[in-house]
Amino acid sequence: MKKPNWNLVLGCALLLIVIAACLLSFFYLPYPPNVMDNAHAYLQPGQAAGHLLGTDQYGRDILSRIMVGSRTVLLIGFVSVSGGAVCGCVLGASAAMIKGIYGSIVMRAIEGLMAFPGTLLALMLVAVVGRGQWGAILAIGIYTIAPFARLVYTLILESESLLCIKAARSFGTGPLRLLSHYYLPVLLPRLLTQFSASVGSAIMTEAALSFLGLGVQPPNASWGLMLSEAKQYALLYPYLAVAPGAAIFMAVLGFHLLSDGLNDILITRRSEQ
Amino acid sequence: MSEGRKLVSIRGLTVSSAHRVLIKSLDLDIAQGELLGIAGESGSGKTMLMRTLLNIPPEDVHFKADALQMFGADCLHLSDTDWRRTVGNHIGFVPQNTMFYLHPMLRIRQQIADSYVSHRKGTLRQGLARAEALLREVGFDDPERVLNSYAWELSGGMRQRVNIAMALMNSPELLIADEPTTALDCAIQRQIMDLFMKISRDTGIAVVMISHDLGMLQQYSRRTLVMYAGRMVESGSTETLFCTPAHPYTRALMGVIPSLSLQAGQRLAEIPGYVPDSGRETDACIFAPRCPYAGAECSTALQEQDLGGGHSCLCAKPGIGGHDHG
Amino acid sequence: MAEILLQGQELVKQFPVQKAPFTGRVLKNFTAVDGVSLELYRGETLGIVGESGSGKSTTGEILGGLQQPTGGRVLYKGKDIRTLSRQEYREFRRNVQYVFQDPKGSMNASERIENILAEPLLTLQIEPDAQKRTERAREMCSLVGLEESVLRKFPGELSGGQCQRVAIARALISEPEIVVCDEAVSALDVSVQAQILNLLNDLQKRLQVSYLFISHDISVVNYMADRIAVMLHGKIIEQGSPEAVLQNPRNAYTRQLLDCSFAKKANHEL
Repeated sequence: MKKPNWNLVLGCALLLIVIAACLLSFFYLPYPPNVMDNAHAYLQPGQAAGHLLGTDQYGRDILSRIMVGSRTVLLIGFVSVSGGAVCGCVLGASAAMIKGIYGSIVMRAIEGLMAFPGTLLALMLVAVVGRGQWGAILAIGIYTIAPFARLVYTLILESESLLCIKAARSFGTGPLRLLSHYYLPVLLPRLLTQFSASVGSAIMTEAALSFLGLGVQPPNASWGLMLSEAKQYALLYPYLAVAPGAAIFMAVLGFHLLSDGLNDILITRRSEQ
Repeated sequence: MSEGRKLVSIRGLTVSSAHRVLIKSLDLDIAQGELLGIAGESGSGKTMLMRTLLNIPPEDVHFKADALQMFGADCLHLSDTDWRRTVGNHIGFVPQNTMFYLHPMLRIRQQIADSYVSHRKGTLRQGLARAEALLREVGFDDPERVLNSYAWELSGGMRQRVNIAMALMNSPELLIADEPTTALDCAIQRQIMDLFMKISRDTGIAVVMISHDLGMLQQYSRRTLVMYAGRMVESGSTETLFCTPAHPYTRALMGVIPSLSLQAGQRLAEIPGYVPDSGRETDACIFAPRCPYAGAECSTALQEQDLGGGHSCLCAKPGIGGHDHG
Repeated sequence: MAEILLQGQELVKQFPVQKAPFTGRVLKNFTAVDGVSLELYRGETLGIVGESGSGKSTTGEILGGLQQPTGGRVLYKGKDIRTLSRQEYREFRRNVQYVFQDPKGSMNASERIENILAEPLLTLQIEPDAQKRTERAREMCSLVGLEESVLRKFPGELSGGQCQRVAIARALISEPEIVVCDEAVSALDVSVQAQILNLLNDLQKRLQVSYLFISHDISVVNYMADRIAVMLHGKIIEQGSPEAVLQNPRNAYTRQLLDCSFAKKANHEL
């Protein structure tokens, strides 16, 4: 009778494919992803047995590169967002509870960070921090701090006027216990939702960075890099761009749908009680 | 008992959700122009009854009834839209939460005529003219100012008056007030109740007051029903009911109110236990577990007892324990 | 001569309602509490009655140290609470507890009842041993008339009346000298109200607690209090024993409150 949660279902389905590809890549790859084989270059998908998605301009198997690329993409996505989330939560919580001048400075800094579009900020940071995988992780991590800090900050300020917090203060509950026992249970669903959405954005930004040559460097595989390499041949061999593009699409959409789906179960239902 | 034709006639209403029965076998008549009070605590089912009448039940709740006649229409066989139209044209509703109806971001004039326009096909201008007249009737000296205000600019008492005016827009025959005064201060409560009485006197509208405040019902209603755990346990004229309550629950309810003449140090009469959430589908008496007079006959199927003069009681031993209480 | 436990002297509380746009200088204030002086003696129940906006809840919170007054001072056993040392302040906190109007809202919805009950023992550093805390929680549970099965449940699973019993148990678990009941029975049904009021009285006899009983319902305050203070617009307009204030009200507003309330009570008491 209740409508099934299509966001959650679809999101999970898409992510399952991506994660399955990633996990599988550790045990089995159709072909070594970086080995060039000019004899078999430019094969269309399905044209030759074994190359399900065809080969690129250097004869490398596209499917294998996609699978290996998923490792990089998921690694960058999770590590950067985790780091940014932890920093953001600490900053936001401390600003909300300590308040005063510290709180003002922190929140103005966060708002300053939010003023920049994510990709632009990432570009600037990479110029400072350096290219490559870890540069991308650091850059994306830094700009992920802002949404988490804001979320935690506003939620704690909102909750402060709740009766249970007033009651807790009346029997001497200190700020650390308030955080761990009172605020955290309320924060957790929202943090999960934000995490999922942020991973989606992180993947998008990583693809952009790699496309511009500032992220993962060749010969390593990254979906953004594959797109970049494919752009020269886009008119002649469109399939070169379709595979990585579709992979990015599935991953980003999957994480955002998961975020919406989680939002529906965890938050909307709770507020209806 | 009937002061006119029956506006609403319900027989055998049973309302249940997915897991449990909420209201069981309820009969209800509302006659034209009468002042009816429905008394009950939380969990008595009075809110669910009201929502069923207005056809706005919660999502997983459904009902069945032997008969459900409203304003001459057989609602059991009406489509949802037709039922809604009947309700909109004939019933005015005054909610407990004074902000319930009022959109906080619109001025009063932008919302007060909504129902009028959608049900009556009158123009917006006619609607606003009527609104102004009604606001004057409910006691505002300056209706223009009220029309131009936002809901949050008005006090609780003023908002309730606006709700009453809104409820009267479609010239309803029945006004249902759900705990209309609970959220208001004492003096304002009296003003609002006097307003209801004035409206009923002037226009002949039937007023149904749902409340847990027995004192208020005693003063303002002419007939009272008492609900407990989804059943109507007693009904009768207010005078009879309050002078000679027959059901043990009614008597217990009157006894638990701390009266001003009570000596400090005297214990308040208590009803032990809690209102049961489950087990309402039983045919036996649902109050028996908490009743000081319960006996063997209380666990058999109950019949409604007619005590004469419109006074009836759902009890195997009506009037037991005498008529003094508290 | 009974000991004065808690005293408020010329308490004032103002909230800024209008600030200058750039400098933030306060232009207009709303005075919630306007020069209130009260004493609470050991073992008594002081009732504060007033309508919404009268400042009674704010007064209750100031007296218990939950809010800072803009003016005036609060004395606990003769000492200004702002001058208390850390140790003394903890004593103060331990001895002044609250029961609020919204039973479920005053509890952490994600914790079980046994943890909620035992929390003051932990945060006020009364009982460091977890086992003993659970024991105390169990004792308090039966003291307020609840079954042990309630301990494993969450607040959302209990009724309003049951939750308020838990709130009372939690307030009493630190063995305070004073409990501030801020509209503690206003959100409850009449039949449950009677149970809770009887419980509060029983506990007072047993544990010698003082109550600061705040309510808008004059008949409830009349029943519970040894002395009554009537508040209007942040001031105490009348104070005295229930008989004095209610039988012979000197102030027109008190008379109005009584008329309202009396008229509403079932006339069968006549």
